[in-house]
Amino acid sequence: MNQTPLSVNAGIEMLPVGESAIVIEFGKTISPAIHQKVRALARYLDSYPFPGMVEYVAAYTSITVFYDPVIIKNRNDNQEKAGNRLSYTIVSGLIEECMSKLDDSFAGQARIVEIPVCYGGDFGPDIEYVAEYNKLTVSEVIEIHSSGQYLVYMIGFAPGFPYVGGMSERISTPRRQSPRMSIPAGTVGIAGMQTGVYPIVTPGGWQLIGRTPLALFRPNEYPPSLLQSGDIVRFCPISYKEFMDYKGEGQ
Amino acid sequence: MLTIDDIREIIKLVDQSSIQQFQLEQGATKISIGKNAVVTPAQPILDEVHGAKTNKEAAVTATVPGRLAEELVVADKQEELYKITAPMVGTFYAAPEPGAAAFVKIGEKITLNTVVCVLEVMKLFNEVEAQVNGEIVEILVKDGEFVEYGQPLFLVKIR
Amino acid sequence: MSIKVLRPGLLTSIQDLGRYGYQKHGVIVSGAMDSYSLRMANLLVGNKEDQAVLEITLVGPALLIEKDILLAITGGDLSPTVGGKPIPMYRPVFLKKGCILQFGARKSGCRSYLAIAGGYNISEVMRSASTYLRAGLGGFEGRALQVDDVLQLKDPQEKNASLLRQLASSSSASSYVSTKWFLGRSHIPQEGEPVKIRVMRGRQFEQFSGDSKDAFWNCPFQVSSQSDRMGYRLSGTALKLAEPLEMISEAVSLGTVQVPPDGNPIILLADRQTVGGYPKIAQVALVDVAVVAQLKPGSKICFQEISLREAERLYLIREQEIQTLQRAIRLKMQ
Repeated sequence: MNQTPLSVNAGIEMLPVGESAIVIEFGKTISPAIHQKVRALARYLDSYPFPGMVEYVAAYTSITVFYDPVIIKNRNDNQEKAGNRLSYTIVSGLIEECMSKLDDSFAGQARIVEIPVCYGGDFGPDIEYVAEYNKLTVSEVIEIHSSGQYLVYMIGFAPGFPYVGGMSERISTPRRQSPRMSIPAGTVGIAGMQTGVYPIVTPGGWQLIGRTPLALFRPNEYPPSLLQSGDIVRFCPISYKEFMDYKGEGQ
Repeated sequence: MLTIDDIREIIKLVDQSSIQQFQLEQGATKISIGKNAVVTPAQPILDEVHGAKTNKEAAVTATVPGRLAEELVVADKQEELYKITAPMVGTFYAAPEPGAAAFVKIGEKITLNTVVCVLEVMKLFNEVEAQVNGEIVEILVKDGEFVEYGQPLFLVKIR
Repeated sequence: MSIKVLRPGLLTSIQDLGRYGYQKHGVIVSGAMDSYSLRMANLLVGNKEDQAVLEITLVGPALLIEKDILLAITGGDLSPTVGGKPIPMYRPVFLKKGCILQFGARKSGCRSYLAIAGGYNISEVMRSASTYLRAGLGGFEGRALQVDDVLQLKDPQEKNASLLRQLASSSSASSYVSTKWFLGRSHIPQEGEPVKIRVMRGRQFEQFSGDSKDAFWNCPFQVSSQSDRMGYRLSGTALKLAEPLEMISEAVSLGTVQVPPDGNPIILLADRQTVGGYPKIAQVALVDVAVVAQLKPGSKICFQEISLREAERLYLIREQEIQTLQRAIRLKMQ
């Protein structure tokens, strides 16, 4: 495990995002190594949120921390004699302090989450197109898609929607020219180099290759999202019957 | 202590009678009435009565304390000039909000419930009602001016 | 004890100050577009600031009030009336059971907020009563109000019950009773002149072309009809980057001004998605988000630059004002 401490000198940028947020950027390219740093800070903030922190959002190469300027100022003005520090300055100081106590290992072991997928048929109307486009058979598409290990970089766009990376180029397929108006929840798709699962009914332009019976978003549970930033996802092919059984158990 | 009504009544009585000179003192209140005499207005009360006229050449001087003094104005028998005063401390605004038309203008007829201005305190705007029927003669304070409790805000010709 | 929807209006939904703590799960914040008006409405009826209220958009609803209530309406002026007579805004109003509250012509702003003493009886989802319209979550059945919906009300707490009784006892034949005091509404944009919106430079501001940067500060933009709770799309000079930029998706914030490839900036608002991949040219000062929320399609705006320090100062002053207001109203209610 990488023991490099996260320090401001190591190519990390911190900037304000308006009066009540700060973005910490760990790099300029999408990679698991950079994402590990994002996760290390995220896990630290999970365990040790500072007073006045509202929440954070982890992304590909950055983490944005939202805070309440009133709480930050009240808490700190008592301790500050000199000058009138911006709440941003106070928060960036707090975060630098956090990062000095961290190294990459704080990111911890990634969780591996298996997502059962029934490929093709009515659930995957575009799988033949994906196969044709890439000069493969449908079985090969399924084989390639389900043997990958996918890193969840972030959850966004919709509740529970994972942005995953690591899909093989061999099945990459451009978005549909005309998006569909309504895609059922649980649909697995491909768009360019990306793959993902639609957690709720939404319009979209992805090539649809299958469906999972799992609910990626459960509003009445905590956490409401099945996946989180840093998880490793594996797709496991299941049959139509297994899909229906799964759904039955879930009712 | 003499009330306004008492004083008005006294003035009326003296005026209607053949009494030429009249003086009354009670506590801090002192009334002197002289008919057909030049009476120098030594009291601030008369200075504040703008354009006060009397039909008869009778002038009244009165020394009265505080609040009573502000309310006592002598003018025409038909009409009296009345002061609307601030019921609280605050910042005076002539209109309900910036850019809106003023509540009242000079010459405007008002009734008891007419809102003549607002006084802002602690971010709340308090409507000040006229509490008299009449016509606005003068606006005594500027928009945005801080006023004290009891400070005169408007002069009103009462009906 | 309730309110019945006779006509729903254009877009009337339950909102509070937003759903915080769940953005990392892709759950958007939502909440009132003009949070300042929402807070004032609640304070006026003695509620906690963050109670859920009805957010009313452009064309208001017709509501049958089935019990005596104390309410307050803030935000833009959408001509609220009872029995054909206008009822005052920005002050607590007592309405008798059986009244029909309606809205009419838009006179100013774009959104009104209707708070009721005690609040609406709405179950929270993920610790908020705000409606996440796209996901069908929260608020009243996850959607905007429709005809025949019945909103249950909670009973008012003791402190606002006493103001209610005070006003109730002075009411006679009139359909409403109100106070002789009210709050200011200076943040509601005036018609006519382009409205000044104060912003800080965004992260990618310098990456825009010189002409675009000039245009951003010097030209008015117009709020297009493609403006909604997610964001306000502006039209005007198309803004261009000096060079193409590879943008990596990252979190956005309330008031972020992002510029998609077509060059028309979008001000991100309550229902914004949690992350975005477009260049950010500016960030609207938090105190002016409520002003943006009261603009309607067709309104013109001009951006004015302020520093982060100034934006924070304005924000802290506003927060203090709200504390002062709360104290002042409490004193009035005793």
